[in-house]
Amino acid sequence: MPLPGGELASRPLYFFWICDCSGSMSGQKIQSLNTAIRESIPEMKQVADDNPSGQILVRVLEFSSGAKWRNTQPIPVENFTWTDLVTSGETEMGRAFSMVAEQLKMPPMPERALPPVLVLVTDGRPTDDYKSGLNQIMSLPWGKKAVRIAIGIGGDCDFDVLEEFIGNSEIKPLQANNPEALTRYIKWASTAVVKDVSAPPSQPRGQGSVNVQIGQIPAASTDPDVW
Amino acid sequence: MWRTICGSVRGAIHVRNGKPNQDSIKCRISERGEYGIMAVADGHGSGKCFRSDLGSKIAVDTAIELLEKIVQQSKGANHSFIKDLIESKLPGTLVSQWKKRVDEDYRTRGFSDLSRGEDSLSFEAGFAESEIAPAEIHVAYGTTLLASVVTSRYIAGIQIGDGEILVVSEDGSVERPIPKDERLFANETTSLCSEHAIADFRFFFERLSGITPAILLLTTDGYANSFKDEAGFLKVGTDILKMIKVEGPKYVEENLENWLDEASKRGSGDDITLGILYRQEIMERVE
Repeated sequence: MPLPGGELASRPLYFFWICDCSGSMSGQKIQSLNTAIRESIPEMKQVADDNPSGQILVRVLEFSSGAKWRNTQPIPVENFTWTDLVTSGETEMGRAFSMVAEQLKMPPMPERALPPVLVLVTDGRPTDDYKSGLNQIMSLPWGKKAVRIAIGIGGDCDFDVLEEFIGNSEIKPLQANNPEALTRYIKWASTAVVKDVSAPPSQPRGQGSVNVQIGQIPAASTDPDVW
Repeated sequence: MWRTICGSVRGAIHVRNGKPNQDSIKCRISERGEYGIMAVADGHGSGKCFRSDLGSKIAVDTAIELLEKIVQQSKGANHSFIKDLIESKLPGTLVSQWKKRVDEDYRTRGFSDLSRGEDSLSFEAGFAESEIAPAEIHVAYGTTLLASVVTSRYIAGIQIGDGEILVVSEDGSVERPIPKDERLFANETTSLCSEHAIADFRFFFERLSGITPAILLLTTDGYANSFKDEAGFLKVGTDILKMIKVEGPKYVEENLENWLDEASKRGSGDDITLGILYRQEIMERVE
């Protein structure tokens, strides 16, 4: 005898890599980012295996002079592979934010989804109107409820913009001044954060500004600064 | 004549994390089955709500008591009087009674028994019990609440927070009598513990004349979140009606918790509770 009701399904968790591929990211920065994300994938898959109640779907958006999705559709993490990013051009972060906002609308986002995770990785300053793109994200229910993480590479990054993107005084941008730190932060965002988001406990409205309680942020790297 | 079937299972995520089932359910059928009352509550899972399993239990106990009092005291009263009692008076009484009982429970248990436990870590440990504000105590017991009553004259329901009430007609059509609350999004919910709880209640009231619903379902949000889409969840109403009619209520009762367990494992991973109030006459017609 079948179960009552229609098809059962775990709740989708949309994970967005929003990667700066502008000219200033060329060389060791983009190599380190490519390596860090590629190496984090097996552990991200492990997190997915450990929690079958959330189905992790990955999206990758690269931005420089314009922005484009790596895949037309979200990729289930079990099928996700990494193809190296290449660099050139400007830092049109606003365009990237607008494109993310399009994907956070309902539909394509289902109402029953888990809070999406947006991870922004950049080394620079936006060269376009980032505020209007960010406003588009923040005007959407899933934009407001998204867990927004920002990783700034090197000291030239505009951390005020990253703080604005996060929009929550309890979560600070992460500053990666060497490849080891970048690897550590990428791994944390794609495993620990995903783990917290994939089993979010319900909470009464108005109890704190954080939608999902994020665990311990990794400590700063002790390696020497190279960026 | 009204009958009930109830089931509640600990969520797959709670099993993995070692947390208890924070849902509660309670039903009351009058001696001759002329009326049925059911309440379901979903204690919040966040760290600050570490007593929510008890909070949800207190909520369903309180709701059943107060609704039964209304049913018994309003026999023969006109519908608008009863509707007013449920929509204007009940929320205030319910919230104040719930808070009073929570305070009593806190005075008995305190929070000190948690000082070595995992839960205290969630409750921003480090301050003396004397410093705990009443509002923080209520948050620790925070919960949603859905309750419904059906008599020969009317059907009514109240709700604060997420969860679903479904009314199923004899032809199998399913209705959601309380419209969606757009504020209940992602993992945030209105709650008995909130400052504005009384204003956050939502209601339905319908006088019954001739056509009476076949079954009434109350569930916590873990069930609806386990289905791929809304149509799949609403189909539960049609299927349960058919199963009661064809296989009989005993079959549903014996299998209910297995179904809910399976839904949690393959779906949301959350605690799931389902209460069914069904009219016994739907069986007799088949026979």
